[in-house]
Formats: sequence, structure tokens, C-alpha cells
Amino acid sequence: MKAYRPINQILSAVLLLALATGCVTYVRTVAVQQPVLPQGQVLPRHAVLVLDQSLADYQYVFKASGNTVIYPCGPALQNYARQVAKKCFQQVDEAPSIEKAVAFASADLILIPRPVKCDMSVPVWAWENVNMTMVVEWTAKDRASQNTLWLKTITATGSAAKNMGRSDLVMNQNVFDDLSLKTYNAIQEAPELK
Amino acid sequence: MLGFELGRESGVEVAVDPFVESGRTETYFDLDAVANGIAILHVRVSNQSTGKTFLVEKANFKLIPKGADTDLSGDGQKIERSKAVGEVLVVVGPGPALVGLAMMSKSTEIERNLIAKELPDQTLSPGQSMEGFIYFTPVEKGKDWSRTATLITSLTETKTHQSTDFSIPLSH
Repeated sequence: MKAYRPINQILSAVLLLALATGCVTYVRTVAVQQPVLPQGQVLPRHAVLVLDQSLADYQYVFKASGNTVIYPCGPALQNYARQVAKKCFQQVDEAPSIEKAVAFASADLILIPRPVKCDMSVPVWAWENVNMTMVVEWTAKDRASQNTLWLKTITATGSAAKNMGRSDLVMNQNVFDDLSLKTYNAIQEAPELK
Repeated sequence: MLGFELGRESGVEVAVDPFVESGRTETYFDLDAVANGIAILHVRVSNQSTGKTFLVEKANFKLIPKGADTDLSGDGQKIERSKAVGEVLVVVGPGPALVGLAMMSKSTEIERNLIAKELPDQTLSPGQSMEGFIYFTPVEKGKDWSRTATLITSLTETKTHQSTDFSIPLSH
């Protein structure tokens, strides 16, 4: 059995190369509508939301069969972070870095969303679902001391039937719906932020 | 043999369940982690303290083989925590030619599943608990790696920055 494995792997590689008619890179726009969030508590705090360059530039790169698909998630992530923060806190300002956020003397909280990773699985068969998982970490720091008050990792998932037209659109929307709701609930339930 | 190993310090409890049975890793991850030299541990952390919030970070979990230096600052013989779970892609790899694409599809699904079930980094308020899986590679393929290993971790209290250290032998 073991003796066949290298041969199989070589055959497999040759097949994959044959199937890949040249390396093609696609860029798929991540266009999502921000979901309607439930009416919860507006926390009486002044927060500064850090929307830095790493968030703005974040993209997920999926490679398969010689092709590359790029999902530029940055703008959607920025909008999601804005919407959730504004829904949860009485006053929200934005800053491009932690250093700039610290300069907001009247603020008491600094909020830092950070995309950790994203992964997608694409099935072979048309009747199966395309699945995506996105992990975003949120840190809340005390502005004055810069101590970490709260840290939460949000793992969101979304799927769409592979055989439906533009399954990407549906999958991305489902991921961001899940991400927004989970983040909103996590902030609402955090005793450290009250 | 299934079993939880426990560590209790400063009102915090860390329960560890090493997945050393191929059947269980296949059920949860569709992958024979034991045969492929991947150590999978299910970790549950409960904060039963009064008024203390702890920072729980995966980076602070380390798997120490028996006989290795257990000093937290030491780094020589520790088994690395898998940072990107990407090793699994190599492990599963493309298989026989005709099912190559299916195998690739399967390996991406396994990787996505590993990420989705991973222990999250988070602060843990009094009365809260959290759980998830941590992965380490490489361990000896096909062996019960847990019999000779200890899990060490350190949780930081957010207000005082004081660390609470745990050393949990996994042997059972």
C-alpha cells in the first residue's frame, strides 16, 4: 500500500496540473449588506474604534487547482466594525491607530477589531455547500492605562449551495450576518464593558 | 481510555481531555490525528473566582514531553502549537489520482473545521467558562503521546497582570 503512495501522489499532481489550464487569479468583491441587529442596551461609554491599515487591507486568498481567488474583505470588515460599535456604545469615534486613539482625551475605551483568519472549503459536487469560517478578535482597552479590559474571539460561519448562481454573495452575506450578531451579543454580554 | 485531567489555581479550573483515540479524532475532525502525529486536546477553562477576570490565550498553552524542561521560559524541547493548522493539508495531501480533487476538497474542509473548533483567545469573567480544541505538531505518529506529556499554561489577571500558572500531567 505504502509503495503506491508516491506514485499516486505524482499521478495526482499531474492530473491537477493538467486540469489547471494556466494559473488564473480572480478577485471577488465582498459586497455585503450590514444586517439589522437586535435592539439591546446602548452602553454609556465613549469608545474609539481603531480601523487600521491591516484591517482595511485584509483579504482572504483561496488557492485550488492552480487558480487563486482573492476576497478583499477589508471594506466589509470596516463597515461591520463601525455598525456593531455604533450600535453598542453611546459615542464612537474612529482612529487609524492605537496611538491616535489614545489622543481622544474624553474617551474611556479603545476598541480594536483584528481579523485573525479566514478559511473556505469548496466541495467537489454541485449539490454540496461552500462553507466559509472567519475569525475576528476584538480587544477593548482602557484608554488611560491601556490595560486590556476585554478580549473576545468571534468565529463566524456561512455557507451557500454551490450550484446556486453567485454562491459567493450568499456565503459572504451569511458570514457577515453571523459575525455581526455574534460580536454584538458578545459586547452586550461582557460585564467588563458595562 | 477517555479522561479529563484537571488543574485548579486561584479559583480557575483548567480541564484537559487529550484526544488519543483515532476514532474520536475521526468523529470530530474527519482525520486520524493520532496516525498523522497531530496532538489534539480539548480544553475547558472555568473562572470560579470572585471578581477576577483572566486573559486566556492559546499562545500560552504549551505541551511538554516527559523529561523536558518545564520552565515556562524554556523553549528547547517543547512541541509547537500548530499556528495555522496548515500542516493538515500536508498530512492529508492529494491522494490517488482520480480522487485528487475530492481529497483536496476534503482537506480544505478538515482545515476549516479545525479552525472553527479551535479554542478562542478571550477574557474570562467570574462565573464564565470557555472551551475549544488546541492542536500541537509534531508528536510521535501512532502513539499515545499523552502518556509522556504535560500541558502547561499561564493565565493573566487583567487588573493586576498577575499570572496564574498551571502544570497538568496528561498521563492517566
